[in-house]
Amino acid sequence: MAFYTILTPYLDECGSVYVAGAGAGGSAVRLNERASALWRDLAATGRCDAPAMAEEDRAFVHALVSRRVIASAEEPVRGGG
Amino acid sequence: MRIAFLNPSVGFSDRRKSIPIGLAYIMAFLESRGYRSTGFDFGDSTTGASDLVEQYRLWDHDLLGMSVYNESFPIALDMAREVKRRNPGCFVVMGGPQATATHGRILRDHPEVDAVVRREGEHPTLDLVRCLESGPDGLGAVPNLTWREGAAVQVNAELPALDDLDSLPFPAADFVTDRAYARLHFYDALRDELRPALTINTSRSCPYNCSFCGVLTIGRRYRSRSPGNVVEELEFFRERDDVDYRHVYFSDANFFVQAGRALEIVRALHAADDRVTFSFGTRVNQILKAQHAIMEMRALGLRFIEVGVESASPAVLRRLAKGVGPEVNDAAVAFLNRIGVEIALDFIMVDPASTVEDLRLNMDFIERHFLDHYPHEHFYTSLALYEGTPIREYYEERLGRPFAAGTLPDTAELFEHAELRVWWNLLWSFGSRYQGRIDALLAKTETLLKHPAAVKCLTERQGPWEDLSRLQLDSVTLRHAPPMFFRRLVDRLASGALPATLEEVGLRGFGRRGTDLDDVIASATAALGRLGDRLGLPPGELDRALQVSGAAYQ
Ligand code: B12
Ligand code: SF4
Repeated sequence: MAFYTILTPYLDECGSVYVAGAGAGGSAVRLNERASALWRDLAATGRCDAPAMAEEDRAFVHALVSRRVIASAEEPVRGGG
Repeated sequence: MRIAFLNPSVGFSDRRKSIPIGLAYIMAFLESRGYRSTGFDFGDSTTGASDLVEQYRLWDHDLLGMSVYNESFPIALDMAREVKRRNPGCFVVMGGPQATATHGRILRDHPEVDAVVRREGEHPTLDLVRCLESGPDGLGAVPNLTWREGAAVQVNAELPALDDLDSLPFPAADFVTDRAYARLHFYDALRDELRPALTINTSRSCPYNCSFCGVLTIGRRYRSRSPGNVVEELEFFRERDDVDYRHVYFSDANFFVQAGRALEIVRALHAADDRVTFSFGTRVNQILKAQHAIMEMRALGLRFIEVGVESASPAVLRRLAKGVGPEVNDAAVAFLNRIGVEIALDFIMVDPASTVEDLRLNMDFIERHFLDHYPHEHFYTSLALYEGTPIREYYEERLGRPFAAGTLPDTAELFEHAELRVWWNLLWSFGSRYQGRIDALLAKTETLLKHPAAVKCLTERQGPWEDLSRLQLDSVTLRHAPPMFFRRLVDRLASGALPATLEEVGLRGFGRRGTDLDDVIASATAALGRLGDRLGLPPGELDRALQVSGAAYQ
């Protein structure tokens, strides 16, 4: 399991996720349906199970990391309760 | 003989303002035969008819020719009356789509008009001038003329439509106007370049039968100029204006009727100057039929096509006699998106018999293809019932009464379904409360976000990049706001509700923070001011950019 922090502001509207600054020339990028679902998951849980992912999803996460849209993070310390 | 031609006001400003090309053709043709004339273009003037007649001494001519559209007909009549009052000896002739469609009635009902030239005007107007020079007796011999002989209206025989369009001089004519022409530009997003642009007409008419289209009144026979002649026109105007025109807006009613013809023209243009890009208007079925030609054109500089989609509803498309179903629209739009040719949409959001289901289909289409770059003005469109078109007659029959002659019926009064009246009212309430602000803001946010200083911050994550990122997302929301609101409205109507106010439809839940639309607008406005300062943009820079983008044709 890998953990990530989202570094850029984003918008979830009209069925798609839009990520600021992630496109060519610093433009906003609209994620397709599959990528939007993945993003929402990542935003909600802060993690993704890279080895279990389809190849294209792994590549997408990789692209997000290399564009500094998300960054690897330590496993969050869970509050004792 | 003192001859003048006049384009009266259609009552609103067309941001694509260009010289009235039909009149320019006639004036250039007369000039080539030794008759000089003066052109007046008040096509978007808001000054009253009699003031214009007085101020520009329009009455002080022997012949005054007016180009008349449905929209400009009432004002044209006012001006004709005023001219005649001051100078009964001025011969007033009308031409153009509206005059052609209603020539007999104009002569019957309006003594201030002496004659109408039907269809294309070059040769008939020359004959008219020659005839008037030698006294008014020979009017019976002027082709295409409808005129008054005593109390009788005479309709003279017509010349066949001119086949040899190359024989016409280029439409070089100057117009006196009370609102200056913005220099025509084209913004090429591919090269991020603003280029001087020229409008060229390469063909006349269109062989299709769309029931709403005023081209019917000019006749059906499609005729074309030769590629060489078109290239010469570009060179002619470059030299005359000393402007290096590098984009051509082909203004033909339908440029792509014959793919082979269209290809030859753009190949010739490209061979003459491979920096020139171009755009044109056509139908969806033709795009699909000749995809190979569109692909070749893409490589030769095609940038956008004005596509006659009109509606996404099968029922409405049938009424409009488009001869295609919505799936053809979808396929053509998808094809152009795939190969990277921009689309300028021709769209008619509603007609009098539209239903909520039609609206829903239109909203689906817009969201499917255009959500992030939909030109919002299309939401506010409705079918114009031009005189002489089959759709106007269809609605007259359907409603069991004729529309008042010479006028365009008000859409709001014709809706057959109560839900559509609610749609129309709330559409315009939204329009007057929000659309102007959204348009102005978007023009500025999108310009600021493309500014090199902003791009640097965003790509290198430095300076106010987070603030810029948030503005970028607010900008996306401003694009979405009208379709989101109108989707909510359609959903409410479909559920049987008849909301009375914008609030009832829902102005909450917009943007990053899911707040009120007013909050998004306020936050984007504040960010613009803040970021303009932080990035060191000179005051007024964004306003200037706005003027340039307003000058672009699209
Ligand atoms: C290109 C175009 C434009 C361009 C350029 C127009 C211009 N400034 O000339 C732009 C985008 C600016 C434009 C704007 C508008 N347009 Co326009 N346009 C066209 C289009 C596609 C082609 C026109 C063209 O270039 N024809 C080639 C030239 C050579 O022909 P022509 O202008 O018709 O002129 C010939 C004859 O009509 C005649 N003639 C014309 N005037 C006169 C006057 C006299 C005295 C005489 C003797 C003869 C004569 O002789 C001319 C030379 O042969 C037609 C669509 C079509 N399907 O035809 C619509 C069309 C003409 N437009 C139309 C309309 C309504 C408008 C607008 C009001 C906006 C709108 N709602 O769409 C504005 C008004 C502009 C104005 N008053 O200045 C309607 C007119 C319908 C009607 N019955 O009134 C048409 C038919 C499209 C439609 N919606 O059905 N338009
Ligand atoms: S294809 Fe275009 S120009 Fe031809 S009749 Fe239809 S709307 Fe008019």
